[in-house]
Amino acid sequence: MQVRFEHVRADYQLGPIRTANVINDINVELPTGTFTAIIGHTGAGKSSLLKLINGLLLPTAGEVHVGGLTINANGEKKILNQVRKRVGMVFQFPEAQLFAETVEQDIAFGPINFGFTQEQTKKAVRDSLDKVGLSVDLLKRSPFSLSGGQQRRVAIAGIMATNPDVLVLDEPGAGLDPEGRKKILSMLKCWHNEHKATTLLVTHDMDDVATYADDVLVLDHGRVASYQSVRQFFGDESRLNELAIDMPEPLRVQRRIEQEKGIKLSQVSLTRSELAANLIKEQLV
Amino acid sequence: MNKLILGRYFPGESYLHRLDPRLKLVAALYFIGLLFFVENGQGYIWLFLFTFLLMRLSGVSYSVYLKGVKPLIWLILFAVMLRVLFTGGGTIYFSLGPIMISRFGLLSGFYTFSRFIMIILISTVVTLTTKSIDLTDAIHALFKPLRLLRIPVDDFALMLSISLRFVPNLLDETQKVMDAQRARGVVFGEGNLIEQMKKLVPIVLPLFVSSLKRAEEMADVMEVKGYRSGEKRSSFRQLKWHLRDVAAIVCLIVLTLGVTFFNTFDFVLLFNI
Repeated sequence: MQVRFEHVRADYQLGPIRTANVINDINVELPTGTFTAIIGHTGAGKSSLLKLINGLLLPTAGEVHVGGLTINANGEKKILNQVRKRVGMVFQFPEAQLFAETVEQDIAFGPINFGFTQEQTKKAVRDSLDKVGLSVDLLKRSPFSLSGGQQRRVAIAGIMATNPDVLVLDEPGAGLDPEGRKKILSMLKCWHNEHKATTLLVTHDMDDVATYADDVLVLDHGRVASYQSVRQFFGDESRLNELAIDMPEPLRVQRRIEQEKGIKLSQVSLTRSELAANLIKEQLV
Repeated sequence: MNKLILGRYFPGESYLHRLDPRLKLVAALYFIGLLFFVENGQGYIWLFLFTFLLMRLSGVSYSVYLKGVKPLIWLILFAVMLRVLFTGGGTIYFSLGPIMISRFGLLSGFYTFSRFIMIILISTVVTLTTKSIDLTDAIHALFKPLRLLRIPVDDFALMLSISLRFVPNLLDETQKVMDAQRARGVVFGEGNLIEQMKKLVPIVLPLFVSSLKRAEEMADVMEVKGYRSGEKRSSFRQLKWHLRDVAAIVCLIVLTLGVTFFNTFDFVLLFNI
């Protein structure tokens, strides 16, 4: 499903204080099946952008198109419900939304709300539990008796169970150990590849951007500062400096080598294996 | 969640912000008490003028106060309607069985309305201009004499300040959990009462869990930092009495004199019973 923003503006209300134009005239089209990383400094509007996609935040002006559905300032309930059925949203620390007595009930919560039949629900629960790499033995356990990492998987399974066409992820790896973080992200990437789900990932880790995403969308004060492919984006060093965005580790190493040796590699290395390949190709090692 | 105004603090540097919180608390209670000694309409107008002056001084826009009154408006109107419909006396304009609209009723309706509104406005003025931490300090200071009765005032003050401290966090968290469950297809505010109550479970339960977790962590941290209950301790924030606080007391005296004056001499006879 394609996600398209058309002249979208949005305000953010916290108590009586209104912050105007957290999202300021955003015009962007994310094609079906792409994996886009959304980066930007704190308060740039990343979370607000995600919330706009499933109508948790309504635009004050402009329209958000998700597939054939249109969200505008009115936010008709019927449309919102359809949108939410198609959009899976993994919040920051999603384990905070667990509530049911058993893992099974918790995962089934979404599917039941969206009108899955009993059989479909049962199947969805098992499938998604399998996807996140947990065993069916856990189904009857209380989600609160699980470890932190397992809880997060259960929460993510609860979102995947509805089989969304658009997957929206707000720092899904935050607070986990490096190993668990990697596992969660590669699992989500797998899901993306299999289902051709349009995926948006908010992250602060440039290595994650380089490893998992196809495109990068940089937000700055509620505007799109840049939207291009990962390779193009990280290749433009002066623009990175301008936006005060770090390079992924392998690229930093590459730049350092280039500086020391006074040469320029033809390719931008986004991952370690790419860096190794590039170095071998240029016969530097 | 975001509509709650009462109990929120608006940062600022106004005269009211700088007043001693003990004074603000006592003055607000005094003002509310004073409301019940007013005997005629001009007295209420006098107090209304004072209330508006305070709202102006606080530097917070009137619309914020209006939002504070809004959630309670039906309760107020209900009380006012009771007064208007069931009070007899004076000229009777309309009557039907036990229900009547009389001059007395209308006036006492107006008085009830004024009292309610001013109680809300004044307490909003206090909470908008006082940090919750200062408010607890004030309560702590005012209840200190109870120590003589062996009531653990300090522990209560600590509990109060901790719970007030976490109100904003809890509100934020509620918003987050609600968003998360809405994303999973819950539609709030639909269905009959039972259905709506069932929808609260997925919100309340996660909040309970996180609150308990946080309480435990907090207790551990306090223990590690050497906190023991029942010990004598000094305070980092010291409340100091300034000249401006004396000025505020003078204002209150003038206000009281005004009320007595208006109670004794009626000028605007229109408003009298």
